[in-house]
Amino acid sequence: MSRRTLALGTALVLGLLACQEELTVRGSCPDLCPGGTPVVEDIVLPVLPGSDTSHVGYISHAGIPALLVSNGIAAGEARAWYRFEARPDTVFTDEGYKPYTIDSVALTVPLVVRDTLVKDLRVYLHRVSYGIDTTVTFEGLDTLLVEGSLIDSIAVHDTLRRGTLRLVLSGDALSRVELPAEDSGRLAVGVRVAADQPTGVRLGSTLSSVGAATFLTYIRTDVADTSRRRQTLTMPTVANGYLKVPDRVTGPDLLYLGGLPSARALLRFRIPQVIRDSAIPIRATLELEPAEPLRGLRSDFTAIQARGVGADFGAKSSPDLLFLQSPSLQAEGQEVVSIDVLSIVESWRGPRGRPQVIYLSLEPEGGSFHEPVFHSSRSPSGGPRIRITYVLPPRVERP
Amino acid sequence: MRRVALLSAGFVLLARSAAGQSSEFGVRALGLPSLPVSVRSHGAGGGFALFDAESPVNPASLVFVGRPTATFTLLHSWRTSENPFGRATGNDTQFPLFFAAGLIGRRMVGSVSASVYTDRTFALALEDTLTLRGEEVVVYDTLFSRGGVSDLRVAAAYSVSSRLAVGLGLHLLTGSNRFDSRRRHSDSTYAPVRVVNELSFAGLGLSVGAVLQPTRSLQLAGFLRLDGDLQIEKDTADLGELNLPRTMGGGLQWAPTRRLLAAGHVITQSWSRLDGDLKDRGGVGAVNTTRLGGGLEWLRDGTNPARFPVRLGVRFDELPFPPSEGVGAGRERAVSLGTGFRFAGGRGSLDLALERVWRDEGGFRERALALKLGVGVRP
Repeated sequence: MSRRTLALGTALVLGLLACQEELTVRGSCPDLCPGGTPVVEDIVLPVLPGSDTSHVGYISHAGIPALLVSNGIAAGEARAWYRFEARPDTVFTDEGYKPYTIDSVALTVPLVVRDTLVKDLRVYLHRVSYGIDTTVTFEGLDTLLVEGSLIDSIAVHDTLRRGTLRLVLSGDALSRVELPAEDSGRLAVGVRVAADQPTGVRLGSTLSSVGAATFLTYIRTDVADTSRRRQTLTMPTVANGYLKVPDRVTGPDLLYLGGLPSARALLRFRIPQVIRDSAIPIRATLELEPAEPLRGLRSDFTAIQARGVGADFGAKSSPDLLFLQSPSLQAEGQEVVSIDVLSIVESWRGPRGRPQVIYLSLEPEGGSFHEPVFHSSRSPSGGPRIRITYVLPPRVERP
Repeated sequence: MRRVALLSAGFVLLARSAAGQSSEFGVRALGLPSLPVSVRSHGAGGGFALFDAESPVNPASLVFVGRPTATFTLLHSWRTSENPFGRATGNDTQFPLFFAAGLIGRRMVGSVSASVYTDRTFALALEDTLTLRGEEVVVYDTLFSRGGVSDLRVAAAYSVSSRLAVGLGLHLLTGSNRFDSRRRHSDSTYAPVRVVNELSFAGLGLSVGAVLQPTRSLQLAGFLRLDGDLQIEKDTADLGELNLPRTMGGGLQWAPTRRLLAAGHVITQSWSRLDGDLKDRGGVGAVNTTRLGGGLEWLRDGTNPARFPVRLGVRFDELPFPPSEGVGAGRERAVSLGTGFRFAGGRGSLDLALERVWRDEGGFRERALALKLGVGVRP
């Protein structure tokens, strides 16, 4: 055999092996469908009766991610307060501790969320007793926020969605933030808001990403180094809090989320054996029926997060880090809240399936006007349920 | 002994990869049956299948093995498939036959081979509209299937006299059918689905055959094959058994001149033995089949007959498994041509066959062009 023939034969073999297979033919079930028509089923699975509960006490005043302040909205009245670090009466210079003269002061307040449809928003800062702490009541704080205690107000531009609000005081106005010796240089302010219509805002707290309010004092000292004569004393917030009334609706027949201290809920289900061992869920939706209209702040993102748990220890169950989230709750809405929980339901399948529990919490927890309340299995109707759509696997053994 | 063990292990592995060709007529039941013929015989419409030593059909034909031989076959087919749901073109590469034989003494020849018994390689694309949660959702299904039943044969032939040879073959039916079902939805809130299953097969069979040469120019051959029940498992679950058909065939080979050889055969298979079982399992049943094949080989060079002979053939097959409910089982017609040559002093061979195939039944039609390449080694 010539080399040419051998090369031709080799090329032919390699060429055929290199061909990319294409096997697909169009078909239709059940005419040309050896496994039969795949069957899709839909099942609504109610929560196990009496097994759905809310537990309170997860986020306290010490852990709030934002401060709520409102005026006249259905979600409730809220007032906030900040307490700043003590301002020293001397400053340390190259020449030692020196007294200073105040030129001006500034209070900055981070605005996190506002309702952009509301015009003429003003944030009012009142001077309150430095002894204010988390034991104060709404009424106790609200009575302090009167004309006589007003430091000043900050007009929020209608186009500002979020950012830092700044109030500067100088001259005679400095007397409103004068810190007498008996207060040891400490300042606390109470916050309320007003606008052309009822509204609310979320302000930064010590735990929020944008930080809390700051008390700045611009001073002059009598030192030889002229570059050191003008300084700024920055006093951060050391404590903050908010109070909201009325308190959330509670009751043994209801499930509630959020609030302060915050509430979470556990829902327990039992999926049918067919889903546990062979059927393949393609969609699973948790449905929660509000027991009352969802009260909140327009434009304020609040969602319900659903998680699986590794072990069911009731209120002390450790939720997964990964979560599934509902769309943002609509203020004044009473529609059924739906959360896609397919990955949680999938984790319940198989011989080593995880506990059939859904763990619910609110985001942002402890810092939202929303305090949703849902029907439970103990309610006359409308308890939590999961709607599962699943496919029965094709019966390929069907010839 | 060690060589025999290694060879046997190798053939078991080869048997798992042996496959015929993809077809929409191979979707149902066990798929598309295949007659294991060499490339030489394939080029002549399978006409020489009962006389050709390298075609593991009639065990008695092994008696024509003159020296130790090993062959490997590659098949590539291009096809256009039509059915009531659409038209598609495709191609696939398969390895339908591995064969090895050697002399055991002066009158006996032994061989092992791995070939395709049935092939169920296909891919179906399906589209449907379902109402899910009150909304119409389009679903796109794809069902891939690969593999089928492979036939591992150990056979021997004995030359009783200069005019008569007999043969016996033991068949191990094995292999698997791997399914990969996928579904996606037009609405992405529904998760895609993927299910992978495997059907595995096991069975035994026995074949006997004879070749008789009543005159110098005429040979007659016949064989009978009895296969036992085919055990089927889905993953690890036992799905029971299927009766396999009885196969019998007869043929003649005639050499009118020194340079012309003609042969033909009739083979029948009682696939209807599966009919009840298949229907009980929700299938569309099975029917008996008859296969007719015939062809000729013209030796262009009388002094070197292996140098580019011309082979021509025609074939008519009935197919056993209807592709759909209410449709017949289908027919297959083919014309083929082939050639080949030997090299390295006859120690190596290369054979080529080209076959045009038509399959049809009801609204199902398929045209295919199959190129078969055989490489042989005779040390």
